[in-house]
Amino acid sequence: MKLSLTTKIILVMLIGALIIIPQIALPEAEFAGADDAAGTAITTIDQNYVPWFESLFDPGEMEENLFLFQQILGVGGLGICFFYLYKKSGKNEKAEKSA
Amino acid sequence: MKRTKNTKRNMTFVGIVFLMVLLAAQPVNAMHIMEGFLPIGWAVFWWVLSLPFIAFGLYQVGKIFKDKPEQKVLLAIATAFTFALSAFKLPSVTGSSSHMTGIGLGAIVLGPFATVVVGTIALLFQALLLAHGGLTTLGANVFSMAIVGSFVAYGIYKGLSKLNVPKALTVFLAACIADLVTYITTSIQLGLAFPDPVGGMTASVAKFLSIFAITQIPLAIIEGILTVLVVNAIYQYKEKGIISNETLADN
Repeated sequence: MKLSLTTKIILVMLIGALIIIPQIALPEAEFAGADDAAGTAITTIDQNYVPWFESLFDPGEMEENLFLFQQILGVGGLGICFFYLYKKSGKNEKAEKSA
Repeated sequence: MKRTKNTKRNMTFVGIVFLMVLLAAQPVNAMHIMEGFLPIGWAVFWWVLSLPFIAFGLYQVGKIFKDKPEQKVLLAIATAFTFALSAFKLPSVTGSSSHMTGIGLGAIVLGPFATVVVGTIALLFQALLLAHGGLTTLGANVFSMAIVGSFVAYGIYKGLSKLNVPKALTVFLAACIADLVTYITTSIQLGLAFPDPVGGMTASVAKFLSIFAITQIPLAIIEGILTVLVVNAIYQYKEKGIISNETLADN
């Protein structure tokens, strides 16, 4: 498997389009979480349902920052891994040349 | 020299894509089945069903550390990918937003059992720190995302690999369909627990499907493409012998 540069550019543009189109097509939408919609659906189906357990830790106002923290962990982790592989392949190439 | 250039290009691409996703991401709230939102019987049921998979997954991860230390970097990539993708909440055609799972990548490069652990770690992190999902609903969320998601991805990947389908398409379908099936599973789990008083279970499942599954379609496509780009990058390193991996077969 080896994607050409053109294929990659097309794929990246596709991702961009998929992200942007809903926001252009639905300028009024709030894009609230689908799980909140599910919570509302549960209470319409069973009006007596009361969630029986609460989160141990409520991040409250910090929630957005914590999500950002998770994003940084994820993207940063990927960056570190690929940098490691990149360095390692560079070293191997040098070793091959000198051998 | 040329090879180094290609690698650089690969990295730049992955970087650009993540930057785009980062910029488009909406202010976040939750997405998996919320804490306390499954009746206790169902919460226990899904926990019991998921535990053996988690246990065998942990055994597999232990084996990677012990016998295949060169695959640790793949484990790290899969975990980081799931962390990243499940933290970005993206707008969708329904006017709601949702996030991706990132599970397909792990299933493709590590196999399904190790990926169960990868997914469980991400879900546990979100349940404990972000009040996103929950401990009582963790069993159900692990089942839909980490178990069903990774086995579906692995099955499609292995199946299509035998059929000589182009690798990129195989990877795309595996990741994309696994993402969709995760949210279909969530809808079924909620429908089972909350049958509609008039239409019964089927009506309920349909209702939850309309909330989760349709929102998920464009995101599943994005996840498929992202997975193709990352697998492509990993594959170049496999070709050079930097990573040894039997799951990523040639094709």
